[in-house]
Amino acid sequence: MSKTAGLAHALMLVPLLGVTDTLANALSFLGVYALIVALYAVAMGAVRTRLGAPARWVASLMLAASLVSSAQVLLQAFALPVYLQLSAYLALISVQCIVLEYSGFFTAGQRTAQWRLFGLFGVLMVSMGLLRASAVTTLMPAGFILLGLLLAGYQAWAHYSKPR
Amino acid sequence: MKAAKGWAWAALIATLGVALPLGLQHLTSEQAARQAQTQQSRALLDLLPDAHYDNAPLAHPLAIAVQPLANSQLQGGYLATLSGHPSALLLRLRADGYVGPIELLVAIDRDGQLLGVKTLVQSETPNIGGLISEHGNLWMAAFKGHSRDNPPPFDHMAGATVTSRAVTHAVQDALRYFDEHRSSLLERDAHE
Repeated sequence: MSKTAGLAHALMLVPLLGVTDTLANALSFLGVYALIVALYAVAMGAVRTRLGAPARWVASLMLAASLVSSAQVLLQAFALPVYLQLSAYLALISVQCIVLEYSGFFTAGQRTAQWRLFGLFGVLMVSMGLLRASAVTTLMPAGFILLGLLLAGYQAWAHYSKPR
Repeated sequence: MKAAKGWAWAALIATLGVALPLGLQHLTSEQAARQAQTQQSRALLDLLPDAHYDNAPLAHPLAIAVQPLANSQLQGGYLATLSGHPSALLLRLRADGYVGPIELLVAIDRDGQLLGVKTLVQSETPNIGGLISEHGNLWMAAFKGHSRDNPPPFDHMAGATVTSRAVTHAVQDALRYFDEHRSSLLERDAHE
């Protein structure tokens, strides 16, 4: 795992704890996230090869910021309650797009890494949303502990299911 | 040559990137304003059970002058009606808390029973007095169903004597004001 991929994972930690206090929030964030990253990948895919390195970062930054702002504007107009729940975390999606771009995540041949990242994020979001439905675990520290347990479980499973 | 073309693409994306959210914002500004208004009134009116009113109370504030009561200040009020008949009254009060002013919205039904008390503004100590603005706070919920003849048998919230007293006294002020002005408050709108 490269350094930037680690950074991309670390960035996901914030929404993972912040918006999973209810399943509805987790699912709506996941939806907005998937939509923005998909649009970003399509739009950037169309121009990436035409751009030199510095111009690519400018384009990437503008595109990510533009998509997130548009999503915020649309949510404010049509789903204000959702927007109020997610607002602080939406901007992080654009940072994530840029980090992923920088790590070469969207270039061809990264299919496996892409599915692994989104799969992991999706599964964690949904399970956190489900598990935190009870009263105590809506608190932030409980979220941390829960996430730790989930990851430890995953590690253990990965460790023991490895053929020896 | 490629670099220049690349920058032209980047400039195009930047321009479109600015234009897209601005355009969307322009197109949806009315819808967004409506949503904001609905959200605001829902936040204020969640004190009233839906079956209690069918008007838009916030659009019709009562002509109450801002005035001092025994322990608080009356800031205004709204009348909720159900098929044209007054059903409940919302009074907005300001009291002095431990840290700063506390603004409360007190809902009283037409028989003088408390429907609920909601904190609109407060700057009390977080997790102590500040609990009064937490959604579903039990101490605040215990006001419901009480009236002037059946005052709430309150202990203070732990560690927040001043805050508790400010809220309790303001609620009593509201009930007293309602009792003293009941007929004029409830009838005024009925004749309109």
